[in-house]
Amino acid sequence: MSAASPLVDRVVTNSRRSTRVCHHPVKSAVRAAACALCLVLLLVWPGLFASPSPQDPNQPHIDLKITGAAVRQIPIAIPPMQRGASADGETQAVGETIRSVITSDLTYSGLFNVLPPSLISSVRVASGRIPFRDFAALGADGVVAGTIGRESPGVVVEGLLFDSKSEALIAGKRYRGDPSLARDIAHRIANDIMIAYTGRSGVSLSRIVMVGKAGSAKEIHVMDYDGADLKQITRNKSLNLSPSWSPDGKRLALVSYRQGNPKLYIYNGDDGSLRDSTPKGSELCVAPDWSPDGGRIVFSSSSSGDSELFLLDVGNGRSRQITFSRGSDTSPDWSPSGREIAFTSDRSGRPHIYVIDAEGANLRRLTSSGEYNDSAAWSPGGDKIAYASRIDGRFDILVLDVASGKVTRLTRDSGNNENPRWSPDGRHLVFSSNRTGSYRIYTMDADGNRQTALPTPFEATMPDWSR
Amino acid sequence: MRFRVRVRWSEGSERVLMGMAGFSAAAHLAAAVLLSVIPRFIPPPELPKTTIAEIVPASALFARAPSGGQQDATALPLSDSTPSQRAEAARKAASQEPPEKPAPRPEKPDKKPAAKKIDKTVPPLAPKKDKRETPPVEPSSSGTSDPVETQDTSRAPEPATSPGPAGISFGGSASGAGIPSIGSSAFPYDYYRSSLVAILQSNWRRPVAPEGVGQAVSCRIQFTILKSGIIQQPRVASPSGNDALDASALRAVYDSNPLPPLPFQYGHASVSAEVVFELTGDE
Repeated sequence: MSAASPLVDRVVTNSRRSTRVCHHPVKSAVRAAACALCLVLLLVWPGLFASPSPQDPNQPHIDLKITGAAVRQIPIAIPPMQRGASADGETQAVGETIRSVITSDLTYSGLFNVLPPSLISSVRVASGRIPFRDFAALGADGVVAGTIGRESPGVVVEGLLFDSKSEALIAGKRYRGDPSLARDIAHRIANDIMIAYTGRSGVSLSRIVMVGKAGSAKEIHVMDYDGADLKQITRNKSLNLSPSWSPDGKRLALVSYRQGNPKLYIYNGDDGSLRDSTPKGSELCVAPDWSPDGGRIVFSSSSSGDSELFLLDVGNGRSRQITFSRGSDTSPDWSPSGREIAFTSDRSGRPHIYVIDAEGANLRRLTSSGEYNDSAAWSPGGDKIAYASRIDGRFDILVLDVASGKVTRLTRDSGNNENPRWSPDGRHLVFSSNRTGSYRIYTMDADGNRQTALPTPFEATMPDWSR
Repeated sequence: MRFRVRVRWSEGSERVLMGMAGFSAAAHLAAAVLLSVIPRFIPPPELPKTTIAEIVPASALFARAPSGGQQDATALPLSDSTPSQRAEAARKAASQEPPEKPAPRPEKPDKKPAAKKIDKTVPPLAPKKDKRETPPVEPSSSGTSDPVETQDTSRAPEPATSPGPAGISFGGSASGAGIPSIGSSAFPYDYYRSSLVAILQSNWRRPVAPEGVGQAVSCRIQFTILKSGIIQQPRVASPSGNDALDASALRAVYDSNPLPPLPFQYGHASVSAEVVFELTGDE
């Protein structure tokens, strides 16, 4: 009885309104009768409309209820792309590429359950007709209907996302481009799907920068988050280290020995220039990290003999020292708010993770256990810090919950695992590991699941994930 | 050895010389232009992937642009339009060349499948609505005879109950303010509701349940979702008495901002939502 009372209250309100608004006597009579019927039914089936008991009778309605239930993956069907205008063999191949990239993007996100092709192959998608009911029967919530056709310079791709139950179009765009951009188009479609369901971008469009070994030299390379499209950035046959993405993804801060000493450089992706940005008075730079607003770079410099943290103003090239202590302060990482910087310091003896305000005040130590903690990385949400810690002689990736101080170990029994960095959506981590004998770049979920190597034809370390 | 070049000066020579000078100037100019322009076409060692994919949002194909949060709210006066109008608009937008398109393209007949698809998919939206929502609520919805009609007038509340995942229940009603409630029939988008629940659930860090084990406590959070998915004015509408729960629920809403853009077929600028966060004792 109490369960139904808010609804009863609402129905009463409803009928009152209806009579007020609806002047047609027959209609209002029908409505009143129906409302009465409804009321009776509600009383008979209170369980059908299970609704929490109201604390406040003045607020009778509830839209949604959130409990502790686990979040389920969104089942989604991606049938083969339809043939659009003047489609041919090539467009069909490109369409298959696009379909497989969308599938792997959505699967990688961990938020979607892409129905296996064998399951949906039974559903016939005739030209322009999507059998939504068949897909819904297979359990799919969403259906990604793509069309690919040819247009004079390249291909034209339509990616439409439908809700299988209401058959409503949720999102859709048309892309035009060279067939070589197939993967890029697919990543964009996958990202649109991600935004449609979660409100946020995923990692589909993100990229990973890393240091690749080439003989005695180390060069900077960039690839898509999924390992495709590997490109070499520096070619100066010296040591190029610790690349860090600018927040807009257009520049990289890095350290290069091309002039003999380690110096700070900014690589500009727009014109391919590598500019020496070492501020005067703080040579011997290492480990730069870009501030979230893109205006400053924090780095460690040992020009005074003892490595300390400095801030470089990217606009005017001036620098300012923010740590002054005996012992080395290095591996800084900016918090997503831009207010704090996490770094490694051995001021207390062993290297530990510390946090300091970007102004240089309010220093505090974050890690208390472990013999060697290094390379802190702040999660995009600001609530967690990943770092590498030496356990039994080998480094592993740990994650510290900043608020509770709770530490979770993500890697174990797999060689050294170092240099963790977060994906832009905070759901994944990238790191380097020598578990197979030589160093490679790996990604994993934020809980340590699905550790996968990204294929590189060289030894790779020091990854950073673009924002 | 010496060469002697004899230039015979005649009436025409001056013209020839001037012509040569002119040609030389033009050639130099052309060379300069080429030199300055060509480097732009030589791709730099690329860091950001240069994309030449042209993006035409679905607004060109459909009545409204959906994705990316960059839809234009003023594209079409869709609000409160009847389903047939909406279908008509969609059909028109679909069968015509989209206005943004620069030139009429020859494959127009080939594009028909797309148009056909749209014809098929958009109109069902409205009929689907009653079909989809009536079964669970047949009494009240048959009582209000026509949900579309009521939506325009008083937005009479109807419980838009739908089977959600375990633990989640949808209730529906109208909000006192002028904007429709997310639970009402004026917002017939189950997929959006389930996305919203999933997002809030994933962002909710539940506090430890209070002493009285077995007793469920809940608080109610109210907020408005704008067309772009931005959350506005979240507030605790009815507190649970457990401050930690209230704070965590409010925090979950803040952390979920922005939500996915509202369905582009939805005709209003915003929707109000009232969400109950419930801590069950057995956790």
